[in-house]
Amino acid sequence: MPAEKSQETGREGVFRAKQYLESTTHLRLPWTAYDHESMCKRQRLDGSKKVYDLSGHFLGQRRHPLFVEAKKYSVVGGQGGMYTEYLADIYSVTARACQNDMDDEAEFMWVTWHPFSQNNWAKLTHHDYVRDAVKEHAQRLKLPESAGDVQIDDELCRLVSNRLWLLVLSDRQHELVLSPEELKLAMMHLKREGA
Amino acid sequence: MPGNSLQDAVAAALNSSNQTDVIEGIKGAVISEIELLDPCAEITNTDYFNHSYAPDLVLSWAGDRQVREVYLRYNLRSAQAARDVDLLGGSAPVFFSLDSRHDDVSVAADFRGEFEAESGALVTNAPAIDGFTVEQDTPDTGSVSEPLLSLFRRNVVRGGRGLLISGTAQRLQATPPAGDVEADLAYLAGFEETITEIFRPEAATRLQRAADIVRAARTGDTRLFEQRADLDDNRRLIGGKLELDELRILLPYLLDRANALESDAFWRYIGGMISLKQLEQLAETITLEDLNRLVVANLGEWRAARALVSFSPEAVEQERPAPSWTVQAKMLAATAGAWRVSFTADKRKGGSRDDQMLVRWEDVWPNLSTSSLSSVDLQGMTRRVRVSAEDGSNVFADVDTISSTINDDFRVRSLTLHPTDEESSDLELNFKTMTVEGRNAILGDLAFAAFDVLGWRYPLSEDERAQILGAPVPAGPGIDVPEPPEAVQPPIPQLPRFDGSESGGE
Repeated sequence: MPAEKSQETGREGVFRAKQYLESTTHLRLPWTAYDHESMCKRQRLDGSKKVYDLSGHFLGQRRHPLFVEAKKYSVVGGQGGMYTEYLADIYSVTARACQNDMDDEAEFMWVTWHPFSQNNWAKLTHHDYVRDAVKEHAQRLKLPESAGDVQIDDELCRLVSNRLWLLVLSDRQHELVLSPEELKLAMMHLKREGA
Repeated sequence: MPGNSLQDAVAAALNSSNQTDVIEGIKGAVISEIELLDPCAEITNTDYFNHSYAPDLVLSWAGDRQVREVYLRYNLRSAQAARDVDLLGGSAPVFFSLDSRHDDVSVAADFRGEFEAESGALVTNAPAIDGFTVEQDTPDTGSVSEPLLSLFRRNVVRGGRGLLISGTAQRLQATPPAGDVEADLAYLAGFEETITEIFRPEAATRLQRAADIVRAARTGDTRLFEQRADLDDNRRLIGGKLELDELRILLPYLLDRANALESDAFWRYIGGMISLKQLEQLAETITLEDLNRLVVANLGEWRAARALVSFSPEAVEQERPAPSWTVQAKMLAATAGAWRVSFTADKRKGGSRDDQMLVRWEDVWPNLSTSSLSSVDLQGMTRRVRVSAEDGSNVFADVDTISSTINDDFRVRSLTLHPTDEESSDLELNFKTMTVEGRNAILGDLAFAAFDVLGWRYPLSEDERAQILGAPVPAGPGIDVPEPPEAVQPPIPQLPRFDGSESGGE
């Protein structure tokens, strides 16, 4: 697929994900990487920055920030490898926030239109899977080593696992949600805190 | 260094790293811009920003059930990727592209292709809006472009549709040279073409009506307004009511050219779209002078509740000031001869005094008609008598009989006249307070009663009457002067002092 076309498909996927997630009335996602990249960035342990497709926060009591990665794929593609890299980055980003005592309890969501790594599907959000991903990307993330072994914080892996979402969407998803007019009415009555 | 444009304000807000500052900066800039374009819009700022379904702003207008949602979008490309027009276009909202640096050339054509012709949604961007709001250093040429472009600006957010980006409607920004009729007519034609393209039907109709009015004022050709309503004509006259903001722009343009516009039909058309209350409201923000043609043409159309007669301040300085209809102290006022009569739709307005001298019957009856007089309230030294015309009795004769048979010094305190139409109540003329009151009374009836009956001491000249009341022969409720009753001689109006002393009667 040509790069330009691929970018447009990517942009379309980001907005589809945004529409679906906002239609749940539990989320507000005003920032996209295409339009306001600085609001979608998080800092890793080594000081480098990771950009996510969408960012915003949960409404209501939860109020946690949410960073979304949207994959508008019609095939498996390279999602398995990208997901592993994604988990390792989340570990690094969360570690950075905790290290600076600036943990805002940010959550992370991978939204895809095509499942991947199906042999491991049930484990993809498990803390062991996070640990394996971190180990695989330790060098890239410049994680500290001790006696030749990478130091991985198991508690942090559990924390990341708890803050992880994996969602599969369908092209027909929009047919199952409330219409825009119905949603506006619902939102008006729900009055979610933080909207 | 940031400038004053919306683009600059948005760019400055986007530079912030604080989410709240970005949102408040952007929304604040857009709200200011909308307020500048359409001062009549009431703007509700929602709690959302760039949400898929919830609008950022909701606009409404007093007296109009229509609301218009505004969705802020970063750019057209994102609005297109989100299929915003398809998803949300049903409620005819405004999609406002904020950061249009990469918009116009590459996306506009694609976007236009996706736009359904019948969609009522408006897609616009910051440069387009800046084009209409940034102050342009254009000389005041008196061209048709001034009122029309002002109306265009005020309607663009409320009634615009389709893709309005920088360049669209650019030709409307060019002011024709001063005094060039051909250039003004070409501008009018371009204006009409543009409003059909980029306004929703109801807004296009409003603007077409304004164009019709401005064309007539510019050319003096008022034939459109003189056609009979029952005739099947290709060019129909557009009815409805002018809104206050339209009046604020159109009325000064028309009044400046009133001397060249003699058609009563034209002025009645304009008057039919204005209420007295609107005139009073307008006077709070603009100067309304020389309303003669407008008011005189609508004496039989406009309605008020009260007329208050007082001495004209101009008459103190000039012997006979030029008769004029103006708005004074937020009330429509007619100044002619010795009098100023103020009219209001609200009986509570204008105040009143209660210290004027009562008058003799023989001083006022020459200005009354038998058919219109309903009752007379007579005040004597020891008694008060009300004579009314029930069962077809003749009030004139009854008053004369009472005056000649009862030994008392009767004066007229007040009297009641029938109106000339069936919709309004009787008119109550009070000589003590120098007021005429009636419910839903025709302005002409109030004016005639005020000048001819309450103002009997200083009658208007024929010329003054023609200028203020529109006809050399009175046509109000005080007309049709009867033969004088026997034993009563028609009085010669004397010139009493209105300072509490008396010279008009015994």
